[in-house]
Amino acid sequence: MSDKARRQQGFALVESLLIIVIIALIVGVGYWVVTQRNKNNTTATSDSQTTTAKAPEGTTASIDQLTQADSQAEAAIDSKYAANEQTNSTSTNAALKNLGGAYNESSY
Amino acid sequence: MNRLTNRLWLAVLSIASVAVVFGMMMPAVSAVAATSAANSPFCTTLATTTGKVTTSITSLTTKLDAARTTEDQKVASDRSKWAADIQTARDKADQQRQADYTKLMAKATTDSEKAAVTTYEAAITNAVTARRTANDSARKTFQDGVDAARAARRSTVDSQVTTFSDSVNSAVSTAQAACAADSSIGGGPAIRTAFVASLKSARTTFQDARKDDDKIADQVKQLAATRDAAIKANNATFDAATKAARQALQSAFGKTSV
Repeated sequence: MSDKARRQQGFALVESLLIIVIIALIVGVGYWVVTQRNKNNTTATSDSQTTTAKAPEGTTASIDQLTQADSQAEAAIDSKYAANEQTNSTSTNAALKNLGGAYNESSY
Repeated sequence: MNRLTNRLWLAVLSIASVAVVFGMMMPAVSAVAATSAANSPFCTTLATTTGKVTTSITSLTTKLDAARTTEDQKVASDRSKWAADIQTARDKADQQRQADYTKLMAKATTDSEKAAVTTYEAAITNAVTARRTANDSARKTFQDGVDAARAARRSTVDSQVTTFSDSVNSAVSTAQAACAADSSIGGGPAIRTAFVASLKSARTTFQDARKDDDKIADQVKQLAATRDAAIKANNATFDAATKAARQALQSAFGKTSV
């Protein structure tokens, strides 16, 4: 076999690079598909865990749910206004800071 | 004769020229002497300077008072809305529960079952009322705690503002007294240096105290956590009461679920 024929048997550099790029693309697309699927599964699981089926009306289970929802609604309201109380408690800070800069003594 | 007259005129003109030159120089010399005898520039402008400082402090203190008034109004408004929102949620919950009680009663076929539903409804209503009263108390404790923290902070800040204002007034008085005692140019820089140092000290002391301004937010957060813990305990008590009522109803109906 001549030298020229032997050289033509293997992959050229460009061909090798092309194969590497194709493999990288396949791996990348595969990874994206798997992660998306896992993400959807997690969301679905989470939704199924947080959503409780509504009990039939006129049952003690329904009344339990209502009293629980009542409590949760009040907790949400408390949380909102507690945050307001926190904000209100520091609302004079700007005025105090300004008072601390009432003058620039070095200019006198 | 003519020559003599010319010389005489020359002498008179020379003397007059010298007199004019001296005359022009005198006011300048006397002005320099007068400045040396009058106040230093710092002492001259001290009244204006102190006027600016005290006006600025008064203006900013007035703004602080206005900010406090706004804060009080916001707190009052928020608490009013808070109570209204809670009441709206309760009214809605009561309506929904009442509809369920009616449907539950419709399931009762015997007098004993109807009596059991009435007892269950009363037990749940009592438990709801007890929980609401306890939660209201927890909210009141929270709000009172916030009010106390705000009042304490205002008292501390008032004291800091007074110290600041007193320090500035003291610096002004000291500078005024020093200028009155020694208003020469030579005395001015020393008086100014002392005045500036006193003002700086007063200002930085007040500013350093501002580092504690945000601590009240942590106090409010802690009070909210205490309130939430109380409400959680109220919920546990409520759950125990409703569980007992539910079991009694199930027993009356002879079923594991009603």
